[in-house]
Amino acid sequence: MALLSDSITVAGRYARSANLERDAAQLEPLDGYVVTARTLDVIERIVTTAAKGPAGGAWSLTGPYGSGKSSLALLLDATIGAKGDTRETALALIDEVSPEVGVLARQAHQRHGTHESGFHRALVTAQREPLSHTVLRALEAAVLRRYNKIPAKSRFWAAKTLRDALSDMAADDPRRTGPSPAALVEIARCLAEESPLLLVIDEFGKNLEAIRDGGADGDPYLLQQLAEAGQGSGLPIFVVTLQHLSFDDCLAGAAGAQRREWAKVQGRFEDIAFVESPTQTRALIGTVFDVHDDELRSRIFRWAKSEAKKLRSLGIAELADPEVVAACYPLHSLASLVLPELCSRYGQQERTLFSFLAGSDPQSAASFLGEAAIAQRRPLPLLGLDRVYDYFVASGALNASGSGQSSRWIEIASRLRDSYGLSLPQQRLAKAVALLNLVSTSGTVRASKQMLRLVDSSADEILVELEETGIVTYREFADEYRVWHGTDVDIRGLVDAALEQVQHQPLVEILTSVHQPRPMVAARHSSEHDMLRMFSVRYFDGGEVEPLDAFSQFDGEALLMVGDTTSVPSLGPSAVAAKPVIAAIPTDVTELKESACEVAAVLFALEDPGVAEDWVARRELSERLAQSRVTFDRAAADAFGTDTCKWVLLDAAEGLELHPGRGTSALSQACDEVYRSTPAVGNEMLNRTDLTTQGSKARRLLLEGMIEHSDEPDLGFTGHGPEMAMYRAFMERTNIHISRQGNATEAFGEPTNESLGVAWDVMQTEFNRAKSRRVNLRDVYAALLLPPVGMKAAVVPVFVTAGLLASADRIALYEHGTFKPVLTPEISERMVRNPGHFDVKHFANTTGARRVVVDALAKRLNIRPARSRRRVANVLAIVGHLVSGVRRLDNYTLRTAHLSEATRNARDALVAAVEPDELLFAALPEALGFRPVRSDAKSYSAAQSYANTVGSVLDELDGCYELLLTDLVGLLLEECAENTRLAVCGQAAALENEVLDPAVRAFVLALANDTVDNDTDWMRAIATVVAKKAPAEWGDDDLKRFRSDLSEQVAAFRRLVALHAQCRIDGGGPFDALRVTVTRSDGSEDIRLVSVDNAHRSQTERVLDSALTELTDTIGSPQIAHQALLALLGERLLPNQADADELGDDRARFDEGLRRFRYG
Amino acid sequence: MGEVVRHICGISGGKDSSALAVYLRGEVPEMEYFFCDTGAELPETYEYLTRLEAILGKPIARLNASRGFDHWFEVFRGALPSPQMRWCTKNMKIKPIEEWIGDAPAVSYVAIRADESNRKGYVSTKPNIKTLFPFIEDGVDHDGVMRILQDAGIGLPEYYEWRTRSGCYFCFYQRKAEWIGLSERHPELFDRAVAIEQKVLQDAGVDGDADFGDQAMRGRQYTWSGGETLLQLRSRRDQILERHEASLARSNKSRTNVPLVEALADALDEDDDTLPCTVCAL
Repeated sequence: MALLSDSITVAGRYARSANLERDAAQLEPLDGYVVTARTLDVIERIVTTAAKGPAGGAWSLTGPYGSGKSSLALLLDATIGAKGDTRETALALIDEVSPEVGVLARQAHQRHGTHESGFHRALVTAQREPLSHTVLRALEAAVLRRYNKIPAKSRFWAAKTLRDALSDMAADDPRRTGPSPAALVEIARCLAEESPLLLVIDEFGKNLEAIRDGGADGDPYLLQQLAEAGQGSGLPIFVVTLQHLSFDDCLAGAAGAQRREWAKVQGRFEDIAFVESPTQTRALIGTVFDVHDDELRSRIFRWAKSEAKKLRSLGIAELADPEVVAACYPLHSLASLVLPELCSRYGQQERTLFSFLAGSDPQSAASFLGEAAIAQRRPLPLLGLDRVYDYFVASGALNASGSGQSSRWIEIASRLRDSYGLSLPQQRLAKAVALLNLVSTSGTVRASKQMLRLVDSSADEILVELEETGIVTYREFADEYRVWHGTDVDIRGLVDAALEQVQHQPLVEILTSVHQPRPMVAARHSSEHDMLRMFSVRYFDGGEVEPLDAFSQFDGEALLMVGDTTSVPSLGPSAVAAKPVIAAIPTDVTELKESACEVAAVLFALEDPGVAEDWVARRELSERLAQSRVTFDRAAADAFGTDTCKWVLLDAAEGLELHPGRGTSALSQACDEVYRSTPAVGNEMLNRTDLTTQGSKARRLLLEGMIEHSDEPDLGFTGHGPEMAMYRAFMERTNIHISRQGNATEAFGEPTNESLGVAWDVMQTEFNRAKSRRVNLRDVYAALLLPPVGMKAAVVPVFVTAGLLASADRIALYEHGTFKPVLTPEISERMVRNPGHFDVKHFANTTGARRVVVDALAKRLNIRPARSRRRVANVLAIVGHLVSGVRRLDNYTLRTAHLSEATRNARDALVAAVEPDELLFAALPEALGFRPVRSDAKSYSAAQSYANTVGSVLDELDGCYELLLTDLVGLLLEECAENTRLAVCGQAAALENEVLDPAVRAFVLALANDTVDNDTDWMRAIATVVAKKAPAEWGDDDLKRFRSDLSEQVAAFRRLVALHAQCRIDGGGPFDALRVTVTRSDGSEDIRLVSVDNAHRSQTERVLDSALTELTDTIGSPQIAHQALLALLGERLLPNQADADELGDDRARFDEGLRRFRYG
Repeated sequence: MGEVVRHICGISGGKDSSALAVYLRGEVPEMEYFFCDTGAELPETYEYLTRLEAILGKPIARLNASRGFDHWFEVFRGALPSPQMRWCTKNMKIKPIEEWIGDAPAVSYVAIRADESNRKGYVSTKPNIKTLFPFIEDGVDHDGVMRILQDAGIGLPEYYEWRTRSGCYFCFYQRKAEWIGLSERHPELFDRAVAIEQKVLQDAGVDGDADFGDQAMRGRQYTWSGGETLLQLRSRRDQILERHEASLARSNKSRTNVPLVEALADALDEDDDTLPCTVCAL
């Protein structure tokens, strides 16, 4: 009996996955290789770059496992490899699909002279290891492929670097950091100088994982440098990374800064999504089976025609073509329908698919051919859904665990496994239902009765039987039989209803709600100009176009036009010097719209309250969302792809059409066009929109150095810190700053560097605009940020500060409207953050009368020029001097009226001053009784007199506080009736150890303070003690109060001095004395000085306490006891005659002392 | 020749550090006094500092004078400090102090009293700084401090009448009753604090206010005092004062003869046990 395998053969390549290192340059992997549209697209991009220019490029291919990325890399390897069979095979494969690309590939070899040797090919599969290790292995492989060993230095100049790097990598020493990026770039350059270098990193995601987990040196610059070395005008280095997730997704969970750095690197790469559509996959299936029996072929075609008809009637357009159905034979049409979806959803794409088709497994299609008998007048044997089920599900060839749909999978698989006693037709149909359930989301591919009739003509009856056994249930809302429980939520209905609603919204709204396009980097322009240019991207459907704000972090905007796609929007005339706006105008957005609506509808359905409560529905919708997003991404890539989309740089007219080219070349062209005068900064750390923490610190130090050490070489920096690097690259190289030690030469000035010239002129134009009125610094910043200069935001403050310092004597700076006489580092820190808070005004050199006045003032005030070559005479120098002088004054001087009238007036004018020229030529002269100095006056006769008066005013203000203290010293000495501080100090010192009332004690101690050097310091403390306020803070009222308080305190002090003196006379020793006056009832009085010797104090107190206690106990009231005791003591004090005489003497001495105190 | 050793004494504007300065006035002639100025201290504090300078006969170096709160408020574009993000302490106290001290060997005198030796002050971790605690060594306690201040004729800073600590007028560690105190003693500063709460710097220059409302954490209402804005807090004035009186009374009952300063501190501590910024209040 004839078997199918007699007439049909199977192409055998697809049984295993490709490995770059193992399979490179082998013929076998190419055998039976099918060049699909996606593959061709990638090959075309790379060979076009190689054929058209001297430089290379960088691509990152993202696609799921098993989608054939590695096989593609092998094809690429062969295509650009050395002359030989492998290359010929590869080129033949390409020629078959697209002769044009074949020609381009040959041209590439021609251009680079690699017809014999081929390109250098560094192919590597990454592991979880530092990127530098992966790249090094690749480069080593490339060298060995060409030379079989590392050649001598004479032949390969980077040989030593390569050897060192290899030994670095091999060393276990953790202190070694492995090969440096610079070394690797050097090796790559060395290779590329000889022949173009192709570097392919497969499984690049593993490198990124190693970086994310922190176990590896994650220097993104290596890749960036390699990419840059190849782009623009660089060397022919072609970098291709292959990964199944985008950089960003691989780095999910990594630190924000790390992700940003990588996003920047990815910006250097052209992203290619490597996903085949089901139709393409099905076309691949068709290439596997080769029918070499004509009769069989015509039988198959007849069968296919009738199948296609049935499928068409079921609305399955994908298989409505008999050719497609026939090509897939021996697969049942439903099997070819579900296979691509099944493999992409649950398996590793094509790898899984072809294992099934061509593998040796007993359930595989190849085995089927070997067992299926073919006979005339009997139906053609077909590989049905049941066999597909057996291979993929029952035998566990597929593992759903990674697909996010495992629960449905497990449910279905276990239900069928656990059902016994089914007849063969029942089993077959149940498996068909199960398989359709697994791949269906909604729409036509589902286990409906009509569909199942294709599996078995008696499906209706079998379904009833199956329903009775409970294996399958019919879900009415979905019109579908199911072997899994699923949900009762009408998902299809929900999505359809949502679709209905969504479809009426404008496309731009739908798109904006489902997709946030990522910013794009103008890769070529960026690498050529060493300046990252990034465009924000958004969907747009016409209407007014507003260019980006000057301060936007983006350098321009790309509008993805999705409305009326034929017309080009235009900008208003105000947008002349604005950031570029580019419109991408696709020819057709139908698919984009359909897929976007689908995403939006699923999102909408997910928000339905019924769905929220039903996890099965939720999960199903989430799966569907993921699916529809993939479709959407593909549609977006198609709509705005190279061939289908027009790129226009907008202007006030109809715009400039850009060459579409590959990747972001249109953006680069727009940047070339618009940013014509961008200065080179030469420092990657500074030349950014946002600085890193380290960069920010370095810039702060740089600004501080500029402001405070402009006359020192290297702004006073030493060593090799980043601030020094910024200085060298941006200031020294360009001659913005010229440092000459010991020579106060103009430090900042116009750069000699040509590339900075335009920027400098733009800034000067802004400064000159400030001659008539103040100009906000934000405007100056904006002029530098916008085209044609387009400086990066972080550089602008440095540049503007240089400009301000260069014109310090002409440009006045105001913060929040207040004149700032000097630019200090702290003002600069605020200026960097909020330029809008600052204004500048230009004071052109003064002439005529004003010049005379300024000169006279400069002479009188002894203001020297800051820089030797500059003229002194400028308003800002004088006003700066005056204002700084007033700032130093203490509060007393600022408040007191005890100044001459002129000084008072001048002081108030200086404090209130807002405008320098207004102060100097109007307010101040008027305050001092002079007439204003008009700007148009030729002469001013009172110039000298005015200057002298201003000088005296300043002198008076400066001396005011000292004068107050000197006056106070005089007053105190007068009150104390002494001539010197030392005399008073001595008297007070004598009282230091006495027990005194706290208030008096503080005063006495202040008088006794001999730790000070001069009268005024001494007085300041005394005045503070008396007034409870430091004299620098006094007002005139405080002074008045002080005078009277001082008199009282001095009086008390003098009494104490007298008392002390008397005590000394009486017997000396420290005292605690009281003067007691007793007035008797007849009016006679007696005064007596009493004291307790310190030695007897405690003893006396004890006696007194016990007497008081005893008396209180007896009398009952402490008050009465105290009074009684006091009265008795008074009586006891009644003096006898001798005592009275003595007391009389005391009194006389006291009175004499007091007289002396009072009248001197 | 060895390097010259500096002797330094930090003044916080509070009573203890001021007393220590006076206490050491004759003892360490080469003493350098310093005060970390936030530019937002209470007027009483500034006034007290000039008083102290006059009494000491020496200037107190004002660190940080040109980069006070207003400066950082502008640099951070209205992002305000809080216990979680205490940039105020870092930028206006610790950094300036460490910068000022530099790397020369120094002896730092810290005013922790004998009766509070478990308190922590700013004790530098820099290796070149040796820290001394003269009050602990000499057994100077609270009464001792009061005596020193009295003898010097300098008295207490006036804010002790309504607030327990020195520091910024808007210090987020101050208690609700102290905010009420601020609103009554310095209504203009209270208004300024209200404005800052709304990310507005009043009278930043001749042009008037600087508004950062649309910058830092846009749309998020910051509050100095937990859970309510200052205006809401002020509207609860009577309630807050009542509670304050009650806790004052409670704390007075348990101790007799307590000076007002202490009683106030006890009462205020009752409604809040967060540790304040030790750097500011030293």
